[in-house]
Amino acid sequence: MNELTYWMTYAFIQKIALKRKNEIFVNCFTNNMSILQLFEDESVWDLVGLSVDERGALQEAKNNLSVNSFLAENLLAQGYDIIPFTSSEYSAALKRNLGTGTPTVLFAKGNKNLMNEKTTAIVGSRNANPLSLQFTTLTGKRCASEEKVVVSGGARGVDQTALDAAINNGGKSIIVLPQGITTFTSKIRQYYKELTQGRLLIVSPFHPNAPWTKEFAMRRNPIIYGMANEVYVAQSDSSGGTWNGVIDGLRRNKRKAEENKVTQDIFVRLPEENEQIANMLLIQKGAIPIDFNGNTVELSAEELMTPEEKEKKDLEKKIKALLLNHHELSSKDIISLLALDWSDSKMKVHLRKMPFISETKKGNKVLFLLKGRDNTLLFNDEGNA
Amino acid sequence: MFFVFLQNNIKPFLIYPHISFTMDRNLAEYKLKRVFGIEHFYDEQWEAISRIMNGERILMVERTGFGKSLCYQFPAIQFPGVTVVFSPLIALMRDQVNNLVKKGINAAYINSEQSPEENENVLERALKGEIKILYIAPERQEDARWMEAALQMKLSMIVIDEAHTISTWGHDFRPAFRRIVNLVRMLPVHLPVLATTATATLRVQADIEKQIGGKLTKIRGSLVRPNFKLYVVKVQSEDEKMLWLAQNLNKLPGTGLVYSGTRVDTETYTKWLKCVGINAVEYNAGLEADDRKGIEQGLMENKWKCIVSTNALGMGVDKSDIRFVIHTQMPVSPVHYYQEIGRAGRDGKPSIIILFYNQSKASDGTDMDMHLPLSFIDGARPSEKKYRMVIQALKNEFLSEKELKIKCNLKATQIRTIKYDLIDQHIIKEVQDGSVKRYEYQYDAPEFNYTQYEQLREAKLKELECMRNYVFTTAPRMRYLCSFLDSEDGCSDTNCDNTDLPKIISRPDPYLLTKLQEFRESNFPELTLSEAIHRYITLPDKPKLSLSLKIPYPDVFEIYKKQELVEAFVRDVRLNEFSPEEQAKIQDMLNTYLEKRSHITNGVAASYYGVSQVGQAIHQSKYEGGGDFPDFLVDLTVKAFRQKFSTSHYDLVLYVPPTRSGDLVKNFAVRFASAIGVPVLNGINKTRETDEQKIPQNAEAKKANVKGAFSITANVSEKNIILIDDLYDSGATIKEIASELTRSGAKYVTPVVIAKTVGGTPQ
Repeated sequence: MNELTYWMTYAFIQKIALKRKNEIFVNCFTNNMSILQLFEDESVWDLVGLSVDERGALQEAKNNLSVNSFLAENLLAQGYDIIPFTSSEYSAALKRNLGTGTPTVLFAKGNKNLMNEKTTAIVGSRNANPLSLQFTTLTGKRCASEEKVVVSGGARGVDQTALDAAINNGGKSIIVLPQGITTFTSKIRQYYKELTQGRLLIVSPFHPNAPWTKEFAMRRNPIIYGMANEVYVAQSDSSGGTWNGVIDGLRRNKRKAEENKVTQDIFVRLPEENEQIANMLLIQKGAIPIDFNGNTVELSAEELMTPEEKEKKDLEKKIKALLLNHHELSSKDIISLLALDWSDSKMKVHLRKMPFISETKKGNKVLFLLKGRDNTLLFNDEGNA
Repeated sequence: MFFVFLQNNIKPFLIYPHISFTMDRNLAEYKLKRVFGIEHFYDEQWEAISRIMNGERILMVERTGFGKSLCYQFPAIQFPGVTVVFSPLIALMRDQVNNLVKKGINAAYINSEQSPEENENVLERALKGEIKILYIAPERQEDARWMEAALQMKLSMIVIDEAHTISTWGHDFRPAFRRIVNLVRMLPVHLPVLATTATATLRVQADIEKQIGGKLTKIRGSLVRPNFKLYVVKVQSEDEKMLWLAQNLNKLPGTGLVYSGTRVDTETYTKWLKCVGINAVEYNAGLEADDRKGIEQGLMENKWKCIVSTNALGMGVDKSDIRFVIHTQMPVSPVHYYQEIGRAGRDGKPSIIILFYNQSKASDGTDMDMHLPLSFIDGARPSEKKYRMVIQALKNEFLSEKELKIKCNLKATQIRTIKYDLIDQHIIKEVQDGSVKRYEYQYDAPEFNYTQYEQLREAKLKELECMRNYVFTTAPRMRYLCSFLDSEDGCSDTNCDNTDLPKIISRPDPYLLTKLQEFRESNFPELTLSEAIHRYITLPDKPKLSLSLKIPYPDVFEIYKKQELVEAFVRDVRLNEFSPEEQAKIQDMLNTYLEKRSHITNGVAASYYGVSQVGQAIHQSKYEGGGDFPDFLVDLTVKAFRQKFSTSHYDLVLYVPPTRSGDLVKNFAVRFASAIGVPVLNGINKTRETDEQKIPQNAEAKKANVKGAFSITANVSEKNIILIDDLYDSGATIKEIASELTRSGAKYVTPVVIAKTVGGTPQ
């Protein structure tokens, strides 16, 4: 029995959040149950732990099965693939990276095997500057020669440049669509040769007939990142899709590193000094800096500091210098000496976090001093002197 | 009291189909009586129905007339949603729907015979939940609008009618069913599915089971038709068949069907039967939908003694008292034969079944009547080279069927077969690209396998041999057929010319023989160039008016121009419902339209090419340097012209200029013109080189080859013109010239040619 209709219907359920849907199916899986059983055999709903609302949602979805079978047949007849996340054809990287947040079903056209080859996402702004586009072309070309599949979003700017660089140099590419898979046939015409040669895969996690929306464009970004074994960032602003994607990735890497799991290399182009872009910030937040040729660049500890870190370090230095001169100061004194617009309590908290500072009480006054230079010591020193 | 109780309790049965429910047989039969006027179900019917109501999948193999449709019609009216019936037979759809509507059941159909507006209307009703049973042709699954609508329907059951057509081993494989099979595979397991057929060998049955998949319950009954009186008449010539029919058809009881092998044969047999005073009518796939409907309607009313039809056309007419079925040509297998004769005697009353077989030998030593079925089998698949050409083209480009046809220079039928086969082999896919369908080569496509078609051909040849054996067997004929269908149970071994019935021996009547010779010499093929034109006219406060125009002959054309006969256009509408002003308005619209369209009328040919010495003579002059066309061709053409157009007046004879060089057609036209006493002019010039029309293989390419290639130098204004050519194939050249002549002011153009090709270009 073909289960694709069931998978599709399951994926279309909106009243259950994606993560929860995937969790429910994991429960089915551990209980040796298929998606078909989940729909057809209501007696198992207790076992997989469905809430009242979830039962309602599933009951409702059941009524859509027959019409969805028409949709499924139509998609398959037109050479679109329906790939549930349990399939071995589904992108392993995507599951690894997004966990239960991975799309329940992917719709695809082209060579599905590309998803499980070595994949590289090349990401960046729709309105990238010439340097970023040049970097994108070089990176795409290199991927082609190293037989890595370039993943991009099919949008203007970096996306389009990355795709062209890959396929024009004999390479392979995956486009992740911000719309339904059947609404993009102009690309089939445009990249027909690449499709028939198995060098292109178009994927979409959305309803096959859904038109482009801004929301889809945002939801699509994590999938581009998630599908890749490594990410190259050509250009990022300090907010928006590229930025969020990298930040998420870095956060995920940190977590994975703690769990001793495989992490995803995130490379960011080292910007020129005069470029008004946020690449440096990403590097400072932990992304790996690379040059135009994709070589990693060694940066000094100072360069790797974010502006906040730098500010913090600066303040530390200044406080250290003050305390060297004044031995002990109240937090109010420090505030006024440094001409800061801080409250007393904020400074206290800050000072107490600094590892090189200790505090002492004189009457009801709290005074701060450098560690190792407390009263006794100070007194002794003076005494010795 | 009991009945009141039942009626009050009808509602509880209207529950979701996937929640299985059982219904008491008594209760069901009570409803059966009320809605269908039938007292009881057969046990096999009840088994199918109760399983269907339980959400199961059923394959039902039962003989024609058993009552298979009740097995889905009854459950369909209990279900809350719509039951979709995929049926390959348009005529059957119409009959079934009419019958259901009469019983007060909301049924409708969607097919190519209806206008897009009518189909749209049905879809909208279905979406509103106003239709219980919806019949559609399997091809509709490829239609984008149907797909869109299907996604919003509340579906209760799927039925596959004539399920043998989903198997390539079946006798009438329909490639469009491939998608229906795939659909069934995708359906939720609880949705009831019923597949029905009256003709499935065990092999075909196994294939259907394999294709539909899932849990499928088989219900197989006896296929024996005890009321059939089976005869075979062996003859020595085509003439003998025609003579026997002329002598005996009116002696047969009731009305019936005569199946002839080709479209040309349906024309010839019909004309002949009419010629000897038998009330016959021709029916084939080339007829207009309205004409077909009219004939089917007439058949129901016993308007004719017999309908002469091609077997290629599914005559799924639901008439229970067809008293005889006669084949003038042998079908390609016993299953085909069983299916075709199956249309007789559904009422169970005696019915006469006759097969003619011309056993005279052709020059290659085979029986004459083996040739046509052999050519059907051989022509089923294009050559391997053509498949490879299409594959190569699609590797490079994303093409539509039309683009492919032109690119590969293939016939329309060939491209369709190749397309379906390549889809079937997972080599290409059909992608909806906006409003066009394009074909996409699949990067991981398997290697093309042609061997399977060779194997299929071998199997078909074996079946044909079995059909031939039916002619010569001494075994009881029904047993012979049923054993081929793996259904021998219940055969009584009577009722045929090998058991208790006398053999029919052909004894031609000399008088009729002379008449047949005369007929043969005056049977001139018509060139149907004046296609029917369908127009919709909207008048204020009136329902939309559908008009069909036909201008087959000059005199009809004249009548239209004279504003005399609005009636001629108006079908299915009473003219007196229109005021004189409205009628004038209709006439105006028609006239405007008539001005714009080509003024071509139907024409005539002296003969068919390839079935007479005419073909040989033309070939000799044209391709073997044999000089001018011989006189007898001029005489015959003049005779043909006079027979059809003696009442029309003509001003001028023009002729089609040659592709390369040579005066064959010119000289012929001059002789023809002098014989009929109309002036001839060299009035049509070539403006550019064209290919010979036998090089392009399809209608589009032929049209493109001659488009804009002619200019008119003669003054044709207000003139009635005869246009002469030697061979008539697609008609593209003649249509193109007629359009030019119309633009130059010609009143009407009547084409006259020496020969019309049969089924395509002469080799």
